[in-house]
Amino acid sequence: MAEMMQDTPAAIAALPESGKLILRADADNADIRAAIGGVLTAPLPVEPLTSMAGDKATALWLGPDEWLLLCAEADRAGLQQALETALASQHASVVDVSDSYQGFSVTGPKAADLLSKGCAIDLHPVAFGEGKVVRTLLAKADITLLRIEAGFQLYVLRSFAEYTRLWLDDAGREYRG
Amino acid sequence: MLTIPCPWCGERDVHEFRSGGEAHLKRERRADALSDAEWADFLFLRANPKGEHAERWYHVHGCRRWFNAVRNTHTDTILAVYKPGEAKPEAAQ
Repeated sequence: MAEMMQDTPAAIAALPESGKLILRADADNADIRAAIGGVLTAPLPVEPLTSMAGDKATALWLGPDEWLLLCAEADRAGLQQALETALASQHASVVDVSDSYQGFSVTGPKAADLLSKGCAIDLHPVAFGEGKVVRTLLAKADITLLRIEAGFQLYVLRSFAEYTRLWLDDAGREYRG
Repeated sequence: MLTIPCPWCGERDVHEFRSGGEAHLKRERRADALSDAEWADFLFLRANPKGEHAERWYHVHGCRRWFNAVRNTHTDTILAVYKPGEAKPEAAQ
């Protein structure tokens, strides 16, 4: 199976259901950063276009006061509760958007070539290393794009999921193993 | 390809942005005290220079943040970008 995966220049797959939370908070406030870091067991990524993986969740920078937290489906309620408790006295919000977004993975040596057909971002590993995250357009659809070890993960609004899947499959025809 | 450097995300394709028109317009606190002509001026009249122009831009398909840019309307060159609340930099030509 592992060999078959490697033979596929670019493999496209829908990601299983998972927890996704949008966190809004003032990153200049050290108390808020400490409270969030304590729950995530990793510092909040305040550097633009970066992400940080903790034990329970991966935090993706979306804007100077906005993050997407990815976690296991089973953890989403607990994580939201823990963050809300930690930020109870602060001006911040945690919203569960798990069902709003559909994730896809595009993996393999030609993953960047495939996505580049509809995305203006430089996806070469030198410019777009593991853990980098951007919000941009893929074939006119808003995506949140994250580089992982095997390739990329991207998240689209659920209403764009079918369109995005069709576009990815079409763009990936020449890369099928 | 025309690109705009977002103050947070760096250089991006212009299609990720929305223009927000002229920057640094100030709404009078007591708009009711203005004459009709002054109010109409605030609502409808905009500078339309050939050359340097301070504008508001919105990175709608990126970090979803507003920022300001100085753009040469003749050459379409972005001369400077700066975050909301920051002063307009002296022409970076």
